[in-house]
Amino acid sequence: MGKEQTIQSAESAAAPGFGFSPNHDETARLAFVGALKKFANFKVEGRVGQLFDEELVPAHVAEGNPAPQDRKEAAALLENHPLYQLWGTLTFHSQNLMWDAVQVTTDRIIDGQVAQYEALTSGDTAQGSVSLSDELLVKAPVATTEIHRQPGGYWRENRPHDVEAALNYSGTVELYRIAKGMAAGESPPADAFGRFVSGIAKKYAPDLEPTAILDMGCGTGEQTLAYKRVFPEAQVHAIDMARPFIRFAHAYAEDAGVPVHFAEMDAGATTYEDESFDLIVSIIMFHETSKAQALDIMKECHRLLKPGGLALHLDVPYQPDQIPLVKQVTNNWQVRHNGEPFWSGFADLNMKEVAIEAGFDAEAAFATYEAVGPAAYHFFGGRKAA
Amino acid sequence: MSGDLPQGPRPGERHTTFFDDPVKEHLLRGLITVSMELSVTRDRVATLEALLQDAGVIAPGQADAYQPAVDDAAMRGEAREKLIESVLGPLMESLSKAD
Repeated sequence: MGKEQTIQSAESAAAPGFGFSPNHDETARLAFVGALKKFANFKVEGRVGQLFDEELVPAHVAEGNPAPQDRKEAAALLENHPLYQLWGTLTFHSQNLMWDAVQVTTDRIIDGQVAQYEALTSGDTAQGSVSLSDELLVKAPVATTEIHRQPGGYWRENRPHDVEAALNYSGTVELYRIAKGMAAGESPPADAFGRFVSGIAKKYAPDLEPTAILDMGCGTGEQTLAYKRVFPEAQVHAIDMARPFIRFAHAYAEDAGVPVHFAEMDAGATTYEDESFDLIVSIIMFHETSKAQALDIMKECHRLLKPGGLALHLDVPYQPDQIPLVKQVTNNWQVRHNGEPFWSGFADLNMKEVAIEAGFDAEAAFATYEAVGPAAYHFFGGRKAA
Repeated sequence: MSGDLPQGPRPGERHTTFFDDPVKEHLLRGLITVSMELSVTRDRVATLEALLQDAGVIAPGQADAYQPAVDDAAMRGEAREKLIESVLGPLMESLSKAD
């Protein structure tokens, strides 16, 4: 470490902006958990795959059995093996350590974060806006499950004007990026996913010049900012069901100087008028809903789009025809043990068919894959008839 | 007002185990947690050494060559033995009572 860096970090520690800001030891702890997750996700899970393909399946077939055809049959071969159990305990414990680690930082800074939010909403300096609704009913699974096993889930509030749930979540985002190998090479900007989705929107609808954009399930709002940055002429709105996240997103956007209008709203039953938007987007929202909500949300997209508008959603690329059996087994483990109740259910849905059922023309609905760096993501939605 | 705050979903299970022997599994998890804190401490020491070198307080390699004074060395020795006793003593006592 050089002297200039030392002085710089001491200054930034004295006057942190809005958001998750771990100190030295908290950063070191997060880095360790990230490295542990990387070991579990790549090394151990890779060895589990090797074990399955090279030993367990051949031995099973040699005994006169047919090779496993689906995730249930594959799970039966794996579940009692100690290496699979090691993967399970490392994945489970690293998740506990992650939430414990981010909580230390949050406990230290939460009062200042809430005060920043309160100062922002009590003045008249905001460029964007925030709208909360006492009428909103949070639905399952978010209502009933601690998604990702985050203690308190997305919507617990521990104090007036609380942002704690979102602050904790934002602390895990960079860590996850490292653990999943998305940060290979240069570290991407905080709004990289929003920029990626914006690029795909331009690719799928090159003639579209959006004037009103809606980001559904915006969470902490980090990705939302990209839409305003990429389409500066457009008015950008963003919604989420979790109040601590909507508050956090508003403060985060204002701190970054990017005007966005945030509202606490259900993506399947918004209060916007028909044909309000020409681009509607979401990032990893659908796999945290349900089969019924997925259809409701897609119907709402069709209702809210102007003629010629585009609905473009990104989610996990874990459809059964995209991943090997072992990955289907470990994903289904995440459903049972790691707060991902709809992960397998979402993967089994054909989102192009859902879009058509929601009202999009068959030739304008799509469900496909797009790559960014070493990873690929599932994109789906439709373009409303002009 | 705090009594009316949303409580969030029902708390999930934090101590599910996957091995046949949950005791060994919790020992493994404890070991991982200790490794994490060791990693944090190593980072901290590296930072302190870098800061001390930047400030000209110590020279590169000076910590590696450091020899504690006699009293200091004795105190460190006592602390070391106390730590080993506290970690392994109860196990030794427990096993000595087993048949």
